[in-house]
Amino acid sequence: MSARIVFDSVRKTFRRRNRSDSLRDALPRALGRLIGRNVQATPPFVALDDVSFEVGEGEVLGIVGGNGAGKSTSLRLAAGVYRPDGGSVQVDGRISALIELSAGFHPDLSGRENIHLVGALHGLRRREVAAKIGAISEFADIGEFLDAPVRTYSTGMAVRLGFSVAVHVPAEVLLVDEVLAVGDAEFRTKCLRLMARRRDEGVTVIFVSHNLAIMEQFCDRVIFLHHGRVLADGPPRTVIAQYLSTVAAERRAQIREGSRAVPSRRGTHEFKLDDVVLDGGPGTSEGEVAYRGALRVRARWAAQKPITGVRLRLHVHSAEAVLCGTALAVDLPEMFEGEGSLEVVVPSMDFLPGAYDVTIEAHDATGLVVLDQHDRLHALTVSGERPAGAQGIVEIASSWRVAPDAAT
Amino acid sequence: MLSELPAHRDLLWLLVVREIRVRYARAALGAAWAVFPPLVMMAVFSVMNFGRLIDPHSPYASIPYPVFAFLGLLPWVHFSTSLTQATPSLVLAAAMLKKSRFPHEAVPIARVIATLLDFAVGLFVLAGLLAWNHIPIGVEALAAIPVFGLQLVFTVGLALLLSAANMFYRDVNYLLNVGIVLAMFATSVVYPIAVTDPTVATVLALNPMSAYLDAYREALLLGQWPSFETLGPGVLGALLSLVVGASFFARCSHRFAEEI
Repeated sequence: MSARIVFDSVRKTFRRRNRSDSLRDALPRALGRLIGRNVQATPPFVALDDVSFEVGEGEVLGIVGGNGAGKSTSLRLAAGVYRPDGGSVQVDGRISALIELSAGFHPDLSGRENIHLVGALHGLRRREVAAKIGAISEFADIGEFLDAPVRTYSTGMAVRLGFSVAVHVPAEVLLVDEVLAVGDAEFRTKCLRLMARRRDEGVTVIFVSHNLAIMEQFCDRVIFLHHGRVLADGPPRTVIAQYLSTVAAERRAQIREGSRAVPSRRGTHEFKLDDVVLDGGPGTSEGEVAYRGALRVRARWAAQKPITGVRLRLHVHSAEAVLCGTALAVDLPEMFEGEGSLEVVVPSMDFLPGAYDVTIEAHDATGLVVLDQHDRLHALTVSGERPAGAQGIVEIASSWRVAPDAAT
Repeated sequence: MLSELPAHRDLLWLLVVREIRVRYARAALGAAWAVFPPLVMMAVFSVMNFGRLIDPHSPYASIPYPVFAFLGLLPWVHFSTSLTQATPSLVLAAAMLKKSRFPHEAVPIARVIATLLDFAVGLFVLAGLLAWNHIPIGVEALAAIPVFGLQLVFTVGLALLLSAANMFYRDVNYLLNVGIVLAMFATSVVYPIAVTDPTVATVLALNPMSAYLDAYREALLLGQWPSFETLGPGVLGALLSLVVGASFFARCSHRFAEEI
């Protein structure tokens, strides 16, 4: 398989944004430098550092990483919009990029004129674009809006048109950034199907998405960017698992240092939950449980004043903040006074190995007042090997029987 | 790079069409509005009697002042409108620059070309003015065409330089708006540049725009082939402007997408 895209020790830095774009600020700085005064220069922001990877013909590469990890910068470098400050980026073939959805459309021009404009930006001749307009508008499902100004489009229509143009212009390389974050499920399926077809035609795809399930399913390979460096490069399942455990570890560290930007704890605290411990039994560390192992969640409670009726809930979220399940819900009608302890036992943790977050919360008897909520405050790692072929959150127990019809 | 433009001529054409469409969108009179800026300025300078600045011994003394002024104003308005349109053009095209790789020169150049529509509309007014005043047009008038070519080259060079500089310092746009007013009075737009103080006039004679405007007047009003003396600064200015503008643009265009 020949390489279509080669990133070789790529480094990309950006000037910091706080530097203003006006001469009024630039002149004193320049003067200061002239007379030898040490004018403090802001160090540049390093977006990518020593990034190397290759993508072959007909290969789909996914890039995962947190915000600011360098995903979009990588795509822009591959698209030739940015030039690397160090190393080299080589792309062989025509590029179609969908970076920043539908951006570049001019609101006062019609859909048709915008399609022509985007086509021309990709270096296409007018005939070539004209030949594709039918397919583009049909895929985008914009109907009679094709000749209406884009400003009259709904957001969904503009997004669909942007994606449709990008996948229909002839290209050997397709760069797709976060397109699946918007649009309905039906359109998402259509997009994936079309991208799969392009891949089968030999188009090289770099794909960035926060939807890890789709990444795992669709990519041949995934790289994990972390603060501008490649931390992992390999099969989607392994790399995504590493990404999730890194995210979980960082989250845990932030919670420990109390540096989380979003307060994860709220409530009236008339009834408080403290000292929450996730215990997976012997052989596991705090916050870890073996796949299908027993989990005990222990906590201390304290009631400021006597309170009658408390509802306790325990939720488990995936690392992508999807609620996977409410494990236990107990409504306790009795009166609580003073302090005490509680323990929740999950006999078998059936969620597939990966990183999860546990929420524990207490409501009053009406269920309307939050007494204390630890919102995804407790990281839980389900350890073990994922069963082969298992995707999603749980493995559904099943038995298959496939047989030919009996001959009559 | 400027050399990539021919391959992207469809893009350039679409940008020009987009520019014209957007500029005159929802205006009932459309491009007819383009007639007014030079026409109104002609009327103002005529009423203010700028004609008296023309030396009575000069060959232009016999030409009606409004014609003299319009022949300067029409190409001048193309020049100044092109620059004021082109300078902020890259900043406004941010979305395109961040999205795909293409010769960025197309953006400011499309605005210079789109302004030609205004100029073409103005040509009809000029033809009307010449006919109305019974000024005969000789074969020498053809000289105005290559001279306008030079003016376009000069304009494109400056447009490239200013639009690129404006990406780094937005002050450029404001400076231009002030500078273009001053420049008009340092050019033989509404009076022959010779009316100024002799030393000043020698310096101002190096202004390429004066060279083009003088050449148009010589060709159309006096029926003379423009002299080398008149055109010299114009040829040099056009070449210098294009070389400096295009090379500055080429050197920094890879940073545009990051500067927005």
